[in-house]
Amino acid sequence: MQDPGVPNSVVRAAQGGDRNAFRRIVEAWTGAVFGLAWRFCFDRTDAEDLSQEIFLRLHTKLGLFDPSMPFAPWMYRMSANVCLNWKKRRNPRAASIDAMGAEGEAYDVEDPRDPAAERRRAEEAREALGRAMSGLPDEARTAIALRYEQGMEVTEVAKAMEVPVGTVKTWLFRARERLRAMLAPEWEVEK
Amino acid sequence: MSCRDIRLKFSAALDAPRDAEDRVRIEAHCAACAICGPEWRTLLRLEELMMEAPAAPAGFADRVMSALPTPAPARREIMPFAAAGLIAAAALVALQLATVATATAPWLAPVRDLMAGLTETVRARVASSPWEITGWVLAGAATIGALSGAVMGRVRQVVG
Repeated sequence: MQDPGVPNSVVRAAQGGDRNAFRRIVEAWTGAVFGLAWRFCFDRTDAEDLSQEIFLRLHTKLGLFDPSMPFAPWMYRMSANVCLNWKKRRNPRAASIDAMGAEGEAYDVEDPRDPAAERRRAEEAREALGRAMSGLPDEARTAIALRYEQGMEVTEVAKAMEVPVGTVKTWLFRARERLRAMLAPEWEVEK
Repeated sequence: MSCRDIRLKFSAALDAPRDAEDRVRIEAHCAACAICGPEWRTLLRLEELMMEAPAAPAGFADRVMSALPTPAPARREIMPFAAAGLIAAAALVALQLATVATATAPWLAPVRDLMAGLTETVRARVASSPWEITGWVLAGAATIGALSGAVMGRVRQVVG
């Protein structure tokens, strides 16, 4: 488990209302939480808002954590749940490949050596990925977002999601298949 | 392995180390296969994008901390005062009961005389110097508060 390394004594102090201890958790977990939030929305502003929402939820829910257990799986699970709820609250954007490039931006003739065009293509690829991710079922989306969060192993994802390793492998397989099928036409056009 | 077998192993290969036997075999197959190759390369690109993530903005922890609700007084700060209040209330009730008992039981006449004497003394002191008695009451309340705080702290240590 990619544990940012907050001792449980600090978590206990934060549970008792110690704001400095809570700040230590926020500072230690900012990278991991922001990375996870990013993989759910692929948008910097949204990732910032979502990360803040995760920490605010942590502040209200921290009392429910059992300090005799490892903190990292609980924290990842809670964060993923906030990300999923956030997705449901927002207007769902259709993950339709037909909509991608509808305005013709992906078909413009560009100089492939132009750095600005390269950046734009990368940005479009991320946006396409974000749209495709939002079309995945919750479990598959959570599994793949956690899997790539700081290179988490499949066993660690299983621990965070409290499911068998085989289940995570199945979700990852389905997620990749669906993402590949949704993104391949778009990315093939870009080549 | 057939193309179908190869494609079924794509996901597991992406979760395996780069030098794992299956992954090496898949890489070799996809380098030459016009069907599997593009699918594998799309998955590699997907993986590359999934692994990228920007860093959180500077000062993010400050932003989170300032968005937290204002902390309510912690329970341990409230407990000594609550306990002191309860103890004081209990003492007043006990005193009232004692007053009633001594007023009605004939065998408690010596106690009744003692209480009457004490009451008279207190009345005289209050009449002559009201601020002095107020000071004693405040000092008593503070002492009770401190003692109950210490007791509650010890109880919490033992229980917790």
